[in-house]
Amino acid sequence: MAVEEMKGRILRVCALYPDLMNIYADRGNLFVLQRRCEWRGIGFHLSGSGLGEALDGAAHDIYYIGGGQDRDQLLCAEDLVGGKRQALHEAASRGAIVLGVCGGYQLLGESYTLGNNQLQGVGLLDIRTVREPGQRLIGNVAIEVDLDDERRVLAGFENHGGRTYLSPRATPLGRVLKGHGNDGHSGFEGARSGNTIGTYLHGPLLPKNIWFADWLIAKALGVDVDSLALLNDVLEDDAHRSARRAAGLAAA
Amino acid sequence: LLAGRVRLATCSGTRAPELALRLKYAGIEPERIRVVEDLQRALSGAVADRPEADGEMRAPDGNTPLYALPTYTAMLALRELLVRRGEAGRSWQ
Repeated sequence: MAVEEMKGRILRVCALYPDLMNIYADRGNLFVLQRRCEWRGIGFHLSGSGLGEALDGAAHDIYYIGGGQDRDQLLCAEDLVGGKRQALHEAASRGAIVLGVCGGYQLLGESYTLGNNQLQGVGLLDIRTVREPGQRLIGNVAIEVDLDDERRVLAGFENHGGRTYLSPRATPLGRVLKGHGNDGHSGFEGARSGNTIGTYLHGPLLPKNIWFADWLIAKALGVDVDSLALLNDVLEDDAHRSARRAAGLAAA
Repeated sequence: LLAGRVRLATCSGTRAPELALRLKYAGIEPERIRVVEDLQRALSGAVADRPEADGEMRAPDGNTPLYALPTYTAMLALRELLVRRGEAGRSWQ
């Protein structure tokens, strides 16, 4: 699709619990999607769905859920499973992007166990998360991902108490180059099932990995990423290099 | 809020590239954003490159005022530099 044909297109994004699940620069991730669409003449529409509010599984191209505090995450887990699970499954099955970061990633899985409490998750990713005794997994992180047969690096920061275990059927998002990843020893980070993606990377994810922001935009609009207009990404590339450096990875 | 009002933004410190990016997405043109990770060089460059004031906001030397927005940690280092330049007193008063 030619660049010109992107005009008139609208990227419709829905942020889940934008007021509760937003402690890891989650608003910044959405802002990056918005600006990059605007700069390209692509329309952008952002809506939110909070506790007790309806979620339309047919109305959006990207469903985003960020990270929150334990107490808020508990509230969201109940609300998600009680009122939004079906809509998210509907969205995922028609190929919409569902992106979970940190706490949002955990909630997209089967369950989250915290002491004697087991929270049910949305069940879009075949993963289970357990809060085990021991230190939180904190630090700069870099992972290698293969999306559409192209090997790229995502760099960021992780800070999670939960250890996430993938079932043998689940596909990780990437391999850990530096940092802890899902559980500190498997060597994998995140999970992916179709266009449903979960990751612990924040700090924030999209501004530091601008190629991934564009990949999401293209995927959500159903176009090839090469059909997106090129932007001047000097500052974006510097921020990516800085995040790679912080993780102890050599420059690209 | 800042978009369209900033003549030159200098980003400094360990997170300078990230801050520059944040300002760009806040609507400040990339041409007006400068990244200088070393604080001393960032400060002297930012002071030297202020344009002549044309509005009501005017520093004592007739140029546009320079606003510094540091974190607490960076503020301590920045203040030391200002003291050395003779532009801040030693005391906190």
